[in-house]
Amino acid sequence: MELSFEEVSFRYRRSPRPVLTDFTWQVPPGRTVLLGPNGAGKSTLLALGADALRPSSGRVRFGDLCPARGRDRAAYRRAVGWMPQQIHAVPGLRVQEQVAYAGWLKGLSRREAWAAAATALRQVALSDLAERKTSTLSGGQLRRVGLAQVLVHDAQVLLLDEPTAGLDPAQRARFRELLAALPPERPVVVSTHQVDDLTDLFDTVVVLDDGVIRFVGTVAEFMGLAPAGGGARPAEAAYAQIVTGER
Amino acid sequence: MAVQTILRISPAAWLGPILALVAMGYARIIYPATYDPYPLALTSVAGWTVSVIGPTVAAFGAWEGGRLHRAGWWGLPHARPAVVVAGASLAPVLVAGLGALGAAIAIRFADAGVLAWPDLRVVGVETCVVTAQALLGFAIGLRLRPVVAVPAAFLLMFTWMALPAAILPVWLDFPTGAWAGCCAIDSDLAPRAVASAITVVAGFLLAALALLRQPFARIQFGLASLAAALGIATGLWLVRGMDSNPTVPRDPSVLVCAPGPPQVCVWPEHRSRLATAARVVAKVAPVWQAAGVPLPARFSEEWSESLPSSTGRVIIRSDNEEEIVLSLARGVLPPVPPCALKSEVPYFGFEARAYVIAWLVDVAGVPPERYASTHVNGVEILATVAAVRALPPDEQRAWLAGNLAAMRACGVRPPLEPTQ
Repeated sequence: MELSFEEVSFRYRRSPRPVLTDFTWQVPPGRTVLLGPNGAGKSTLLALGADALRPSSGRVRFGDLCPARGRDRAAYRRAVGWMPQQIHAVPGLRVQEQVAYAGWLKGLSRREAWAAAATALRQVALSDLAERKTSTLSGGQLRRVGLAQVLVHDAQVLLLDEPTAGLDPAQRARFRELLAALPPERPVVVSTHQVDDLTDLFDTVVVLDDGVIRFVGTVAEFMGLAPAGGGARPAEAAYAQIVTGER
Repeated sequence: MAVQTILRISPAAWLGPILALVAMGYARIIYPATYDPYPLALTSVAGWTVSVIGPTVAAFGAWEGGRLHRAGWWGLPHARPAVVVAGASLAPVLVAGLGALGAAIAIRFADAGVLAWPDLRVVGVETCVVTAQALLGFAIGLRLRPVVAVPAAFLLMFTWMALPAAILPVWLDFPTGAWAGCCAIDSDLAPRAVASAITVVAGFLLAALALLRQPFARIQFGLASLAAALGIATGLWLVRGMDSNPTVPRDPSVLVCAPGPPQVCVWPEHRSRLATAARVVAKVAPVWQAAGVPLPARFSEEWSESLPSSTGRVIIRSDNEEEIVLSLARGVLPPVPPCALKSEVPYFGFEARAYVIAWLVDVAGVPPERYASTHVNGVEILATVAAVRALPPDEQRAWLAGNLAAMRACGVRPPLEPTQ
């Protein structure tokens, strides 16, 4: 089953112009990096995919599941894991409790959620902090908690919105290790506006700009767009080529 | 959330025992004069504590809503329905609120020495009131910062529970569900009062649901206010014009009777006093009859606007025979006529009542001081009764007939002094 966007349009309530217009895209298998400048519509797209936002027209589907249909909504939301840009501590909760609570909200029983939280924390290397209050964690640790919250309910597709924003280089390297450790058969979409995040880890590169997909291809194809003799930063050059047409 | 987590983080879990103690204290000191072992009255007076419990659980609920508000979790795409998520957050709040209510009811029953089930209508309504106020508090907590939401939820609910009780007309507070005026032993809870409280609960629940809905827009505050206001308005409309208490006469088919004549009927809660009452009636009825007192065909604890004249209304409050004679003496008197409640024609019958009761008590062989000593005109009453008792039987009959006539009609002066 694949996550697909079919002629989706969306506009924020007080915004004069839509973020997406008749947007159609099917999330490819494997790991996808969604690149784009700030305001390109990346977060909106992932929130629509997670059913945190509803399209004003068109539809989002995961296989036969359509979240606009009441009877599909719970199953759809269980199938799609979404890590928003902002991860907050739930006041009073400890790390494992918060992750287990996220699992319970996604439909796991309390017992299942508690066990799955322990597993998810092992995956993100946070088992040592399981008893710490989430309000005492650093930004990087909180992002790992956010990732554990997405992993806890065993979603069939993961949508990670700017997971490395605000992390230092060591923490970003750590995050890439976590990403590499995820089962390859599970589709993952990682949005970022930092081209530095682009690695061989990803199977597909998608560049979104102004609500329109400007590029879809492999990392090699993306790099191939960099002008010859593009210098030490071919990814940035390729990105600039796509987004601004600079050569 | 696991129980140990709830116990650690929920203010409702820490403060619940204190709330229960406060509710128990209130239940004991508020309206302690519920002397009858009537489960409905005991439940209802204990249920009055909902006016404290409701605002408190609303504040607890606002705190729990604020927890999700601060974490930004309410807007996330959960697989569980919003009401289930809210219910899980409110579980410790509801346990604290309903536990306090249960404790108040239990202490009231224990104080009265009554081993019976509480009235399920009152328990049901109070449960709905507590649940609705907790959910509304939770919804407010989701939409406002906790520093605003917690006091706002408490003050809103406290104002709703306390303000109508402080102003007239008296029926304004019937829709709150805090029914301190329910019920004397001869009364039952008015279905209109129940319906009005449930209507307000429905309004509060709709208001809460409007605030829970995602995505949130400011107009939802307007919709929530409208739902709550409509619920309150409809609740008030249902009880408009009711009497001073949210009651109706109790179903007389449950009366327990001893054969007569005159027959004696008491409510099941007074069953243990029936034999004594029947014995006292058998003793005093012939004496009163011989003295020319018109006796009813039966003495009954039944209350109704249209009680037949053949029924004398009594309340058998104790096993004490002298107390029972006093009750029977009141039951012999004719009911106050409807004209007495209007002001066009003066009603003098009230003045006569104390004198006739004291005379009846004396005739039945009970010292009239038992009654007159509690009356403001006690000295005059005793002097008059002594003077009347010194008269020949025929003149006593005439004195009695004159006073009874003054009680039956408006504008008739009773011949209180035998010389008049």
